Amino acid sequence: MEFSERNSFSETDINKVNDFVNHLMSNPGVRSESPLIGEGIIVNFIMQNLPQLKVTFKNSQFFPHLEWSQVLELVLDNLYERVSGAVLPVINRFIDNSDFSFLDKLSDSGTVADKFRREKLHEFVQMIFRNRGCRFNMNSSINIFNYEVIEKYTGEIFRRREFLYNELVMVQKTGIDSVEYITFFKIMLLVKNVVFMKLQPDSDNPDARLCINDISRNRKNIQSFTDSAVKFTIPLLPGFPEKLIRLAVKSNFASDMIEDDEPSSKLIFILCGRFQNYKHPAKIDRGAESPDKSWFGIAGKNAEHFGYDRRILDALYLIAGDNNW
Amino acid sequence: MMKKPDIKKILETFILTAIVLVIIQTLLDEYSRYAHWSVRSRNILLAAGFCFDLIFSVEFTVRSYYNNREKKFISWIKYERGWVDFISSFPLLFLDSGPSLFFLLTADAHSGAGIVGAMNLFKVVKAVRITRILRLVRILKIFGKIQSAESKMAQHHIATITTTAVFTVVSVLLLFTFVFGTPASHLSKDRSEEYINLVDSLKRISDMNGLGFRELSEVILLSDKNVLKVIYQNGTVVERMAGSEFAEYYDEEDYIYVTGKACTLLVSITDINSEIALQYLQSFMIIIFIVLAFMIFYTRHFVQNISDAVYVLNLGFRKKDYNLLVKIPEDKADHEIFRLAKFYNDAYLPAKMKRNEGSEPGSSKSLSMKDIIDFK
Repeated sequence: MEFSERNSFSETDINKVNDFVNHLMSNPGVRSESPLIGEGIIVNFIMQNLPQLKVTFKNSQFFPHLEWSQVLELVLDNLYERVSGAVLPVINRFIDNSDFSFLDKLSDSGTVADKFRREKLHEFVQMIFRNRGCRFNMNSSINIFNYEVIEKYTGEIFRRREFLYNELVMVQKTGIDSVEYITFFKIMLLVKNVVFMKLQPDSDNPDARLCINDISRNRKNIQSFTDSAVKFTIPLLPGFPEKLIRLAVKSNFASDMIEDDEPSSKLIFILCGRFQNYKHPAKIDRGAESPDKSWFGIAGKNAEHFGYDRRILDALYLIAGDNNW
Repeated sequence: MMKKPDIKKILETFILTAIVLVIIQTLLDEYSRYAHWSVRSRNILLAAGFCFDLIFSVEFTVRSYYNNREKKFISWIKYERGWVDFISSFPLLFLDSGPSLFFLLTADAHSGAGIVGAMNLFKVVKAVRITRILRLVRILKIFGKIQSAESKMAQHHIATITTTAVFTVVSVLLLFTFVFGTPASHLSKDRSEEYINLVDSLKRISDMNGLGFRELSEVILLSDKNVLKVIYQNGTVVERMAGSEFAEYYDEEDYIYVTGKACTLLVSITDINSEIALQYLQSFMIIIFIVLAFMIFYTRHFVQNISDAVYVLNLGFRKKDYNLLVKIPEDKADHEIFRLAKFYNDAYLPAKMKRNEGSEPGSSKSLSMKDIIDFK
């Protein structure tokens, strides 16, 4: 029921729904959040209060002549238009302006035109974004894009050439430069949310469709789920290396579920944890450490609990501290 | 639409400006004595001083009225430096600028027998001129306005220590004045005795040699730069300078009458006044720099080492989404405040992060059915 043709609704209905969504969005608790979180708050509220809302929407001040399902469809449609309008441009800019040719070095598929890769990535992002489960979990990726987190940290990792650099270049053996790694990480951020789609992990049981939240976190299940997610994604992203897709899928799991030669997944897992509920500070209080340094410091104390790689956290803590991030 | 002016804010700004100006006026007043400015310039500064003291006395009265009405008079006097407002207003008005202006307006500056009695009283009152230093205490009022610390705790503690330091200096100066008298009175007395002895000696010499006193003494007396006039017993007056010049640069504070056996001298004490003014200026500068030092250096020290850390701790303990570590200077890690901060950084915040795990930012509780029904 995600979308339908708007043509079946009158202009008056669409405008009224627009005013209604405006009214909800202007609520201080919603307005203070990012568009994705705001959408989540409204959708959750609607789902939790369905019986009362059904009655309320029949009142004359609302939509007495529309069916409940029609009102819901219009509201969700309106929310989606707003959120996609606010969120997707930054991703589209990345896809349109990036040089993906370095991916040729990382896959066996030979030379693939950038235009082709762009098209496929656009389609993939649209598909992911249209899925509410995936979309609601994209907040960290969107924050990372918006605040150019990957650019900052990758640049600094390559400038310092310390632990994290060695992990990415020597251990993971991905021989690409800093600018290419930025693109590499950003593709991972876009691909990783595929795990929130209902996939078919078991070929023997085609009716069983599971997303990441449905599987128990043991190595066997995760391995199986990862394989099916990668298998599902590869045809959707031709020209994108399997290794990249696998790393992206695995960046949803705790570090003890990730192999030693996959530090990119561990790094993205940490950064997504950091930027999931991120609010850009207007100013840093004088007596406080910088926001990123604080978060990495605190997360370091809880590394085991949250499944973060302690050594990567320590490296990020130092980088953030030295740069007052 | 024009915004209605905030009367309270305007008055506060007016008083703040007056405080800055009274400090400048006080320094200029002393400097005018040091540099022996014209009588007119000094009288303008005197009148300005009176106006300021009057403004601050009115301000104190108004604040007292409103605080009393709100039953906050005692706490205002004790804890909000109301006592500073008091000691730098009425005592100065009644003991310094008020009497000075009164005598300026009522006494005939250069002649008349009635002035002698008035002058005696005036000099007693002038002994408390040191109280003018209390005006400097007003700079404490500016402190709260211009120092950078936003923390109320920092403002309170820094104001307390500054007030203590300034008031201690002022008290010691006042105590010395009241116990030992003003240096001006000692020096004037010495000078008076010096010239009485001179006149009497000249009289004895003229008598022994059978010479006329005026014939013997006039050249000697007028060669002394401090002797402004010689008034002989027969009423003859010999002046060092023209009357207009004398009136322009000398008033009652600048000379003393010295009456010997054969004549009366008007002896300049401008050099003594200049020296005393320099001492006062020095005292004023000490107080101003004490306050500035506290405002600049101690405020920074206090803010960096106490209030900033407490501010972050307070937010971290109280706000769910405030998760910044407290900055702990390496060399002060063993201070109690930073030991608490270390516990907060190492134990409290990690536990808080765990506790908040899974809680979505902005829950559906942000909305209620009332928000829906409010839609029109």
